[in-house]
Amino acid sequence: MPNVLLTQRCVRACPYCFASKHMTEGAPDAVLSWEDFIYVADFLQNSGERRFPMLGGEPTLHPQFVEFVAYALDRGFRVHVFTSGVVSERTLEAIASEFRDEPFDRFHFICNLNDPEQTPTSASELRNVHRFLARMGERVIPGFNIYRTDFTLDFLFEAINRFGLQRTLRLGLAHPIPGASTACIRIHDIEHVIERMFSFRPLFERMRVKPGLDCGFPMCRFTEQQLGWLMRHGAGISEFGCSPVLDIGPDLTVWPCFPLSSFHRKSLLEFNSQKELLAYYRRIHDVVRTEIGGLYPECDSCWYREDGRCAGGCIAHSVGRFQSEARLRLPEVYL
Amino acid sequence: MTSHALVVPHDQDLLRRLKGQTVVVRTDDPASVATILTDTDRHDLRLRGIWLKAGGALANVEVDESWRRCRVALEVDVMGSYRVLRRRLGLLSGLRTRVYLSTREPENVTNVRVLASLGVACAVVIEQPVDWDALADLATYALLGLRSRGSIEPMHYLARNYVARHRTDFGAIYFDDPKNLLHVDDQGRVALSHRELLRGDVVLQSVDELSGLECVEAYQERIYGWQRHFLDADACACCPGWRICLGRYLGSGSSGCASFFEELLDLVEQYQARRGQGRLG
Repeated sequence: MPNVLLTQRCVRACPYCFASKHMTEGAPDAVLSWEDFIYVADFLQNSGERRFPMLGGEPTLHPQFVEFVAYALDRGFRVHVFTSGVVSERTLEAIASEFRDEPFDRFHFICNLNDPEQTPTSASELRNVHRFLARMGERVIPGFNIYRTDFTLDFLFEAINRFGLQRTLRLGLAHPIPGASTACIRIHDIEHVIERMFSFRPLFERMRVKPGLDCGFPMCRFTEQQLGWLMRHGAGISEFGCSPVLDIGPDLTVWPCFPLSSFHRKSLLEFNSQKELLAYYRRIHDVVRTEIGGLYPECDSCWYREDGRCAGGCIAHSVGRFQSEARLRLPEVYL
Repeated sequence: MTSHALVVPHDQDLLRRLKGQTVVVRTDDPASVATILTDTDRHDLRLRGIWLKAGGALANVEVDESWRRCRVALEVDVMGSYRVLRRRLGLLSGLRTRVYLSTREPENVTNVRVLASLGVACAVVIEQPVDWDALADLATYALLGLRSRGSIEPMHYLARNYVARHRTDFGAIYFDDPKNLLHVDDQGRVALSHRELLRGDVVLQSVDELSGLECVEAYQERIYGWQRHFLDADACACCPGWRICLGRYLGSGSSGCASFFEELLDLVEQYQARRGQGRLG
C-alpha cells in the first residue's frame, strides 16, 4: 500500500526524521498536482487498492488537502493521513466540518507524537498539536518513533486519555537513513529498547491500550514471554517485517520506503500496477538480503527469516553498511 | 418538416409552431428543465436535449431528478468549490448531462479531468486563450488513461467516430453542425450557428422556409466550407491534424493548434487500436 506524499514541506524538525534526506534533496515546495493526484488514484484503483495513505512532509499543508481527501473518499478509497498534528486552525475547521460524518474506518489520522520533554518542541507547536488532538480525538491513532534508548511512553497514555484518542499505539523504531546522519536506534540497542518498551506493560494493560509494532523489529530479540504478551494484547499479529512500503513523491518519483529514499528511485509512470512496482523493489530487497541476511550474523541461517516470519530487521542498516565498504558486492545494493 | 434538428429558445409560441419537429431547447435557467420537458411533450416535439447555458459555477447549479428524463448540455464558467459540488456528484454522474467548460479559464482543463475521473461526462470548449500542452495532457488522460470514466469531448467523439484518413467533424458536440443542426431565435429566424444567430446573421427569415434551405447559397458554402482551406492553400491545407479539426481554429489568433490536433489524431488512432485489441480499461 504506497504512501502518497502530498507535499514535502514540514513544520517540524524531528531529530530522527525519516524524510529529512529526501526533503533536503528534493524541491521543498513541491506539491502534488490535481492531475498527478488523479493519476495516483487511478493507479491505486487499477491495482485493486482500496486504501489511500497520505503523507508528507505535513500533508495538511497542501493547499488542496481537504479537497484531495474528499476526492479520494468520493472515489471509494479509505483514507488515512500521517500527520504531525501541527495543523492550521482553518484547515482543522475545514476537516472537522467536511468529514464529520465519515466513519473512522473511512477516514482517520495517524498522528506522530513526540515527547515534549525529550524532543525540542516549541510552546506554540505543542498548543497546535493539542488543539488538533482535542478536535479530532477518536479519529486519531497515536504513533511514536523511538529514537533514543531512554524514551518514555507516559505522555502518550496521558494524551490518549485526555483527548480520547484510539486505544492503539503505533510504535516505530527510528531506522538509520543511509547517506544521512539522523538520530536512530543502533543495532546493539534494539534489545534494550524492547526491554524498555515492555517495562510499560502494566500501563498498556491498565489503560487498555494495544501496542502495534511498525516495521523493522527483529523477532529474535523478543523473549517468548514478550511475544506471548504481544499476541494477547497487541493490535493485530506483529509481523516483524521489512518489505517495500512504497512511497510516491509529489513528482511521482517512487522509492521503497523513507529510509531508502535515495535507493533505486523510479517514476511511477514506469509501472502499470502496484504489483509490478512491488515486484521490482522486492527483487532489490532480495538482492540485499542475499548479501546480508539481516541485522545479526545468525539471520543468514534463521528459519524464521526463511519462513518469512521475521525479515531480519530493517534493511536500511545493511544498505547503510554497504556504502562504507569497498564496492565488492552486487551492484544493486549501492545507493 | 425538416431533417435538421432545431436549436430553439424556450418560447411557447415558437414551440407551438414547431409541432412534430426534433428540437434542442436552449435556456439559461436551470430551474426551467422540468417545464421544458412538459412544454415539449405538450407541443408534441421530439426533444433531443436541453442546452443549458447556466454560467457561473457548476457547484452552484441546482441539479434535480427531473434532469434524468433528457440529455442536458450544461455550460458553466467554472467548476467552483469541490466541497460544495461533491454533495451533488452522485446525482450528476447518474444523469445524461454533459458539463461544458471553456479553456478561457485555465483551471478548467484540470477541472474537466477531476469531473471526468468521477464519472461526469464533460466537454472542453476550446476558446482563446488555450494552453495546448495542458489540453494535450488531458487528451492523453481521456484516451489512454488507466481507468475508464466519464467521457471527455471532443476526444471521445473523435475516438468513436474517426475513420482512418477521413475527415471527422466534432462540431455537433458544440451544436455547431449546420448539416444536422440549425439555430432559431424567438422570431423563428434561422441561422447556421449560434454565434451567427447572436449576430443576427440569419439564412432564413422563418422556420416555415426550411424546405428551401438546400438552395440557400450561404448554407451550401458552409457545408463545403472545408474545401476553402485547399483552394486558399492556407496553413490548414498541409496540417495532418486538419482531418479532425477541419480548420476550426484558423484565424482565431491561435498558435499551437496544429501540433495539438496532430497529437490528438495519434491518440485517437492508438485508442482505436487498443480498443480493437480489447485493451481498454
